[in-house]
Amino acid sequence: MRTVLLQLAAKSVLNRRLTAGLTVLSVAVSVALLVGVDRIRTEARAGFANTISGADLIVGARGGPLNLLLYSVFRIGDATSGISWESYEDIAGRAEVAWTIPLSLGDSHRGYRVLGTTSAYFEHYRHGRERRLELAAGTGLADVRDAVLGADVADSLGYAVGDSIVVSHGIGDISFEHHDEMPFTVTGILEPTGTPVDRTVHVTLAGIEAIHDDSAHAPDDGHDDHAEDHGDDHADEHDGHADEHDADHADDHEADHEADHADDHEADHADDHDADHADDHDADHADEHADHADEHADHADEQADHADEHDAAHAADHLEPDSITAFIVGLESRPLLLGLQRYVNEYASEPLMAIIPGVALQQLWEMLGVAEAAMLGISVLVVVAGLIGMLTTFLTSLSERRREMAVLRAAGAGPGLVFALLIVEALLLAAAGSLAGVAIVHAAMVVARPLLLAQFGLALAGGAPGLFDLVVVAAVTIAGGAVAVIPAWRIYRYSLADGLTVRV
Amino acid sequence: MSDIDTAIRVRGVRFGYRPDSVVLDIASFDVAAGERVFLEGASGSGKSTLLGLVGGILLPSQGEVSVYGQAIADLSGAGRDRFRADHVGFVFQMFNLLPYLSVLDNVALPCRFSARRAARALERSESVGHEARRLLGRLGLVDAEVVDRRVTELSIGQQQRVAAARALIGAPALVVADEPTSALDAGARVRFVDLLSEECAAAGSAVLFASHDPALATRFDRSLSMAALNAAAVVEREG
Repeated sequence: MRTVLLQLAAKSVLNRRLTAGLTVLSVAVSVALLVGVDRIRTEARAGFANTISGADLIVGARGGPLNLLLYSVFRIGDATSGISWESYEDIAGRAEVAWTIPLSLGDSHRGYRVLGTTSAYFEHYRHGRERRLELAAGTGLADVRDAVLGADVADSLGYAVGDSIVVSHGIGDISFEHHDEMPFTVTGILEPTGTPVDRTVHVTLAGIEAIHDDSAHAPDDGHDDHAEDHGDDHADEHDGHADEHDADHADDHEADHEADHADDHEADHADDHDADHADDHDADHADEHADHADEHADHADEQADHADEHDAAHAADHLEPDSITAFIVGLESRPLLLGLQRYVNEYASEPLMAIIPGVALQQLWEMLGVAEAAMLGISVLVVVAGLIGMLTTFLTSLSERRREMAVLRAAGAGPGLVFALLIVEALLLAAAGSLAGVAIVHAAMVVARPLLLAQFGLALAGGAPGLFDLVVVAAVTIAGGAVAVIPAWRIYRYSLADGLTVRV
Repeated sequence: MSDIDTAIRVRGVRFGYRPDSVVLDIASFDVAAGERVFLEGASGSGKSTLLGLVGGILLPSQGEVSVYGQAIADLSGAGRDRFRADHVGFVFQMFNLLPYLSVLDNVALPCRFSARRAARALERSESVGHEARRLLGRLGLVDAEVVDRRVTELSIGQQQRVAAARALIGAPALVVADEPTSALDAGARVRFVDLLSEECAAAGSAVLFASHDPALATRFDRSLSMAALNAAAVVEREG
């Protein structure tokens, strides 16, 4: 009898392929929403928790602890203000501090954030379960213009070690203020970590300074503008007008520089640079242009060399930036944590704040908890709506079912058979729908994981279907069967009243 | 039970779908074993109700209905279902077939509910499927193509013959037909009745054939009028 029941139920479902398929689909979509919301919730938590480990404190300008955590570790949002280098050195130099990683943010490269830091970053930064950052190719940061790329940056922009990249001031995909004068060279590419590190361009603190310190680099600006002018000039004019060019060049050059210097160099560097610059440029350019009017390739190289000289000099002079955005602190021993946190929070000369990453994350979850509960609540209601849809389908098929019941009764079936038939059908549909829903979510996760990481820096931890998925499938299947009791009971009542003749 | 001479025995039966109404009031009605009885009556004469009582789907509020000596009222609900599955084959006016089963599965359906009928089908053929094909062939559905088609693609006449094959499979002691020919044209009606009678004779089944069409009465052993049989003057129920 049980096999008869299952066969009849299966054949009956197959006979109603379209409505059954739509019922399964509506259950599947609703279950997918529920499981998906839960999945994103748990995976986002795991992803966040995996992003930083081993750090005891994060220090930044006073403000919201969450904001500090988000911009310093997750590259979400922006810092309101920075920390002076003196304060950083003071705190980093304290006895209880084992190591620090300074972080300087605020620039971008084609939509990816640029992080200025030191080699301490590669030495001490940990993610997941105490995993270090590993280089997939190349070396770490050594020179001012070195850049180490996260795996995603290199992958999606197609960079390899040795390529040169240009950093923009500000954050965003489109930045108008390109620091064309400061091309960085990719010296290393990191292994994928599944964290925002993958989406970060790492440069030295000095590199960041070099981009921003206009006063130091005004000469470079002038020089590079000039180089561009040269490019054009050379292309246009040099074939026929080598002599003329020399004259032009000398004029342009001096005019530019005078203007720049007058504006920018009133204070510290005016003298230095005037001197250096005047010498370098006058000498180089006079020579080059007089002698090599037609050797443009060489000229380009020389320009590059020239820039190098400037940077090297600059790096030597300005290893220490004026300020950084935040820094990560590792302690000699954990019991010292609260003491240092208090010290930072009560720091006299500057309003600073130290947060414990785990505590701040906990705060984040508490804040998101209400939203999560609301989302889950809505998802549950959507599942209920899906089941009500199934109930509707069953109830509308009842008149057809009454005939079916009469046929089955005439063939010798009891009135309970169609009752059981409806329940079994509902169980089949609900089970198929909820399994399909879970499958949809897991398939979607495979597709969405890289997209979420790319678009939002949200690193979802991977994962096989979990207990929650099983519970949902079981609960929805049982609920489906329970819902079907209503039409099943009605058909049972009808069959008793109808006898063998259906009055429909 | 076929050793008992009386296929159907009805005594002093009253039945109403509601407590205050009586649609059926029959003092006495018998069908002998193997007898083919034509029951003539208009719509609302209580034919279907009588067939429901005989099939053990309805229970009389008074009186006794016995089929081959078994008092229907003495059986439990499940017992009546089993008794019906074992001993009674039904053919209705329409909607005889389950649309989601094949023609063969529809014919074989009673054998799924009754081990006795499955066993009796196997006495005649090597499998239930073969017996179903044999019966369909006897009823003129020889074309293999018809047998393999979906039941919804069959004509009404073909569907009724499939229904007859189902009523006959496993040789039940009683075949009850409720207006099985009313959807057929005149020529097909006679042919259908003859085929059904032939097969019932071959299986030794008694036949209770209800119809509003008196022209078919001559093809049966005996003819009865519902109006004469039923003392309750009702018109509210179709049947």
